[in-house]
Amino acid sequence: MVDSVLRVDGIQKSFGGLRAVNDVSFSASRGELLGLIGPNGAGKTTIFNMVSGIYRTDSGQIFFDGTDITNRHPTRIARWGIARTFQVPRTFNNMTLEENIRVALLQVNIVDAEATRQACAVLDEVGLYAKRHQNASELSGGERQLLQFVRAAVTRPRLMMLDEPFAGSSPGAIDCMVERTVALSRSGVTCLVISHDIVSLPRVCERVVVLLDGAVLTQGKLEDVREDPKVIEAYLGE
Amino acid sequence: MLASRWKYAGFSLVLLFLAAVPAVANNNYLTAVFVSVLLFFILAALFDFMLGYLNIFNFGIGGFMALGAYTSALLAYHYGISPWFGLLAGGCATLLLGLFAGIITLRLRGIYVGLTTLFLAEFVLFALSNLREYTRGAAGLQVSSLPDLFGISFSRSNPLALYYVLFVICVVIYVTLHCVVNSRIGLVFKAIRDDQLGASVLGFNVVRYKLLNFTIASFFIGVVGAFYGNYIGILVPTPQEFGVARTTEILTIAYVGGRGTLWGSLLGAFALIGLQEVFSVVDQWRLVLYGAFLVFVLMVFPRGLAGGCKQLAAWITRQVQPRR
Repeated sequence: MVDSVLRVDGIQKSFGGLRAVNDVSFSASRGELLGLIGPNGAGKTTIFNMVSGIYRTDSGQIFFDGTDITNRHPTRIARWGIARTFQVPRTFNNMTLEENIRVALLQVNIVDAEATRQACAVLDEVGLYAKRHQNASELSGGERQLLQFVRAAVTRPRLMMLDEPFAGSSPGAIDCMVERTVALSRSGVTCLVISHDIVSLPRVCERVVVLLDGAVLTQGKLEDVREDPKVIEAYLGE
Repeated sequence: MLASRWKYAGFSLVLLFLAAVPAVANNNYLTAVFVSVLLFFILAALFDFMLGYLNIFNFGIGGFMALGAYTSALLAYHYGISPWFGLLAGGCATLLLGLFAGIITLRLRGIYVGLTTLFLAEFVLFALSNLREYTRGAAGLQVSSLPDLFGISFSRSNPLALYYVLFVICVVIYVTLHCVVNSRIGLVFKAIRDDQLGASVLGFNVVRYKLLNFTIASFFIGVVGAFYGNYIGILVPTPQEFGVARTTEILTIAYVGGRGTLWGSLLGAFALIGLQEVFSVVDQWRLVLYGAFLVFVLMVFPRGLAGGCKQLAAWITRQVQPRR
């Protein structure tokens, strides 16, 4: 556990009478690609929201690089090096694609001409260069996913949390995100991925945590988990 | 590069127009109209700076103006402090009010910010009305004229000189706001405006940026308020002068001009103040025509007159560019 970048320890979250997350624990090591899977309502996004500080945990603790980040403000958590994307892309819609990247680059002190140069280079790499002067609102849902992915990636995070990054994306955009996620991992960035895309997930994740009704059903290597009768039952029913 | 050259050329032409027309015409009526246009333009631009760039709805802008105007006037009336210094003092007083308003409201969102700023403004107006011993309340407070400077009289009998004071104030405020919105800070403002949570998880302290925006705007509203007091000569803390009605006029100009542009407010001010003057010839029908014009503009140009100008510029560019 010494090398754990992220350690989630018995976190719980309830909304009224509904327990959305119940005593969930897992950890991710440096450069690991960890998947969070489970049916709808399993609590995956709620866990992301607690790690990134958007929701307060009812109990339990979250450690990042050994520091307790439980219930800290999202701004503070982002500055510690945790970046995330959202299932419904949260791009800055009345700003151009270039501005979307430039504003993120401010967090790593890249400004002015260098920011413009890097923003153009990044957009070129993901095939959005031709649209750099368009507003983000003019992009398709898949393109906006890609944009928020690269916007989070340019902040040089140590932990990248991707919430359904492949949902609604074209095969080309998925390939691009898969390649870049793997590259991030190789450079030492820990990646947490929520995905329903059973085809793309094995290309990204080595290990998965399976959630059901807010609790951890099982965790382990993807190929082992796939054969687990409990997982098959949770996904397909008896 | 070409686009920015056009922008600077346009800016220079507008400056030249605003500087030259009142002097060339040398007509007190026209100067008064231009003073109204500039006053409403800069207040609408400040309103737009808050609303169009950070979604901060300051519904108490009239009360903020009143505080600036009264601070300057009271310093001159009771302590003999020069109204020139009063312009800055008015700004500082509203800066403090803005800071206070910001601290208590900016964790709120939308209509709640609007209501809280409105209540603060009402509090200011009630205080000014009821502290009669000090402010003379409804009896009205006589405001000293701006003292002569470099041998130029800035008394109210020389409206052209007062117009140029306002012109300089407007240029300073506009250039400052333009620099801010086109800087790194402005980029963050726009990100927060578009998605507060998205900006937060990128590591931007949303409350701090909102506070910065609000205090900058509050300072300048106070300066303009202080000038306004000197211009009209007597201050009465009535709702018509500094209440919701005033805020609504400013808001209308900002929206008709075009949100999130700053310069759109100048178009809005010219259109609305100018039309009020033009429609005055049709007597009782003027308000009907005025209302019809507002509805027409917002239906045809939902992004305001500035949005219409941008559409027109884009169309011209398409026509001029050679077809492939």
